[in-house]
Amino acid sequence: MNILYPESAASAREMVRQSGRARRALLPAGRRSRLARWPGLEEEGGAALLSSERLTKVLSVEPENLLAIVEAGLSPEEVRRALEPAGLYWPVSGLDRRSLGAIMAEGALSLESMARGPMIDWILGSTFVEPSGRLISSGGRTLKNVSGYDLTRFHWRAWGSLGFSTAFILKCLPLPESSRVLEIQCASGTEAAGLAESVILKRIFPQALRLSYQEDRWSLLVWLTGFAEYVEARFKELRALAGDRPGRVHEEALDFWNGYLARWPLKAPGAGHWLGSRRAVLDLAAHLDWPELKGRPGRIDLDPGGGQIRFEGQAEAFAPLDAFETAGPRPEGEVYLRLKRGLDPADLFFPARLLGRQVK
Amino acid sequence: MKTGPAPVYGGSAVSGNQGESMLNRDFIKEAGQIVGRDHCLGGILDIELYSYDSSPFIHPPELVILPGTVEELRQIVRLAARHQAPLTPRGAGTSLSGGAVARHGGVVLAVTRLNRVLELDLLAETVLVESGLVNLDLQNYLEPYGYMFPPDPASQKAATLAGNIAENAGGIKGVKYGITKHHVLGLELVLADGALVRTGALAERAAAPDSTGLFMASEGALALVSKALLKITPLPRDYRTISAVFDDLGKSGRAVSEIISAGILPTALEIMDHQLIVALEDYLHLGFPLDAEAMLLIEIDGLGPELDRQMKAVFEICEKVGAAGVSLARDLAERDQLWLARRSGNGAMGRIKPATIVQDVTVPIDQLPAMLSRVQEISRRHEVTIVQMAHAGDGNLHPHLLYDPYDQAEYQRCLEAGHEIFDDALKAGGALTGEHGIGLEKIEFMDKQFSREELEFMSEIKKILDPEGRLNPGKVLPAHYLPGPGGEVSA
Repeated sequence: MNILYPESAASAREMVRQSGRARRALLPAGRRSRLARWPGLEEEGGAALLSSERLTKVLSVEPENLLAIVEAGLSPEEVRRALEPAGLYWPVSGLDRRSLGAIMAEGALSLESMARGPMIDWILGSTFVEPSGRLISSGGRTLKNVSGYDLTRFHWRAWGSLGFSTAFILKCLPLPESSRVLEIQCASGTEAAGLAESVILKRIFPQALRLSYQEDRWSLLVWLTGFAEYVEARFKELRALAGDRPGRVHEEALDFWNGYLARWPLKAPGAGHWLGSRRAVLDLAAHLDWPELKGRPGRIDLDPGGGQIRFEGQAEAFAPLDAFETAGPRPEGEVYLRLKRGLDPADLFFPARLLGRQVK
Repeated sequence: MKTGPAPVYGGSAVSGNQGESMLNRDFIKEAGQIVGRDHCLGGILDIELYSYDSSPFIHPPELVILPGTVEELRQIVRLAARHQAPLTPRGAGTSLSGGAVARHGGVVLAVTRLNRVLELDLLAETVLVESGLVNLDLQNYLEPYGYMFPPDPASQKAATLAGNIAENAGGIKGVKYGITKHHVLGLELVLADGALVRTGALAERAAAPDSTGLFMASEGALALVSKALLKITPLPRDYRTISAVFDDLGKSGRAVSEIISAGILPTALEIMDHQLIVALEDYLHLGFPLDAEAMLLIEIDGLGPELDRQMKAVFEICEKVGAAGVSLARDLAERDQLWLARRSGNGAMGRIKPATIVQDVTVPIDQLPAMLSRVQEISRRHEVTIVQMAHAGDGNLHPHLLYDPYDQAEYQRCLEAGHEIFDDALKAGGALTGEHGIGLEKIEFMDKQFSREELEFMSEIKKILDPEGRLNPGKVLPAHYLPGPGGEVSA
């Protein structure tokens, strides 16, 4: 498999143009992409991956403007390291193994989706190479900008099939003064779901909220960030809601989350990653016959904010749920299909015949 | 009644439209059958009423249609497709850039009857609405539940969510809560050929590509919005409202930069200049200091304990950069007065001159002080009255260029001053428009902000979704990038 490594937006543009002239299929890819083993790729003679692995420059960090400009091959962790000295925070955590371009392409959901929305809401603009090889910049260095069509947001969850991102302008926040995760143990999934509903309906507005099942134990994980007084006040409200349930406090919130997420390699038999909605996740937690899980090996992670669930060793328990579908590319939707046909008539940019292969 | 030469609006006298009528009797009859004759308007007075929006542009449509259901909306779009009739989508007509006027005649399709709240889900923190719902009506609906829809444009008493989506409306809370696109989870849309599609969280498949963002700020030129699934946000529990007065406009801009740099994210950070302060005092008699060159209105929200420390920091910053006075609104009544003043700006300016060109360029926050000063200098050099207010926290300036519509020379000076403001904002790394849209007003400047390739790419998207160029023709892109009645290129 050929892998092309542009080192700049201009070289990416040239590679796309050359591939177009040669009528060679291109698959936009991140850094250490799983696309190299994409089903059907071996039948595509001459197809190549276009990797953002060498697009890793931090172009600008502007605390006075609450923004940063970075290349698309960086990971959120690398962005975080660049921003912290400037007192900035970009609320896209828990996706450190991916590049920013890959997060955009997959529509991967960060921990902060609950309160802050997905990564796309924290991008002010982007530069990308569109399928015919033009280098397009969209958005800019201001929060408000409605000049022309928004050419950034329609790439969300399009798997790079409408363009190859080379750089992003990130909308940042001041680095929070305080950050804390409260882990509340619950007797059952139903109880955890009930408590999660109370957190939402009491409008506590956590940064992240997860329901976790592992080692035959349920817990609710609630992440608070902000000014010290804010976190302390919200923490008291949470403790009151939790009542006499046992709990643990994790002061090093990001370390805790990294440890928690590292336990989800999703390679075990019976593992899965499903997408739905906040309502579907909470309904699932409240209404599945959770006692049946008792004594069975495996783990479950329910993310109401992102509307996603991940499980390992519990596939049978989730099989009948219509409210979810497996995560992965869906080259569907009337607007997307019209855009794809119109912008890439030769179907060379992550061709639909390949993009659809993942879907079973 | 003032007499004299025809008044000047939008660069030309009140005008008709280009091209011949595309609406024949069959069209009008069938449209009446779809929506009912009472909702299919063609009388002289109706046409007059729908020939303008809140911009200076006036272009009469040939017919105004007000569908009452999504199915009626869809049938009208299909009917228009069969007859190749231009469609100008319209909410309440509060566009400041000419986005809702029928530049090329045809049909104005107003969604104001599609105004229902369909479903509130407090657990999901979402509300599903029809697109013609008025922004303030939604706020009033949500308030008893302890929620808000953060985008709150100044026109929120009248502006519909369709219009908010079409222009990606912002308002005063943008710096902390974001703008319309950050609160729209999914859309139901009618495409130019009448196809009904759903995007984002309304799409059949949660994992499908999300095209919702393409329609934010697309000015109704790519599709018509029939429904929207909106994310709602808990109302803040507490707030502090602070006003600071300055003897120099640039100092107020520096205070804004320093507040942001200090890690404080106010709900609102609004600048008003001397002329506006005087006009507001003349209008509302609130006791504003008439010798102040600028006033900064700052609101922070959250939980009580965190607010006092932030408030102290705001006071210190304002005093450090040289504020002549800083004060905290003592009670709700005083807070309401301050916000009444800020929201009355447009009305108060009518006491200075009768007509206005409102710009809304944006610049990076660190460029704000310099940009405010440049606008002052432009005002002096072109001998034009420019009143400045700004959503300063997000770098969104609102220079109001005031003129007498019967004074052609003054109007021309306003245009020239306005062009210079566009140029300076772009040089400062900003944008032509933050929240009012390109509409008709700024089309000729698009090639200053975008490259030819970028405009061609936008043109291709327009042609993919509206190949005949019938949706809001003549808007957003220059004519040589548009198909159909508003353009010069073939589909």
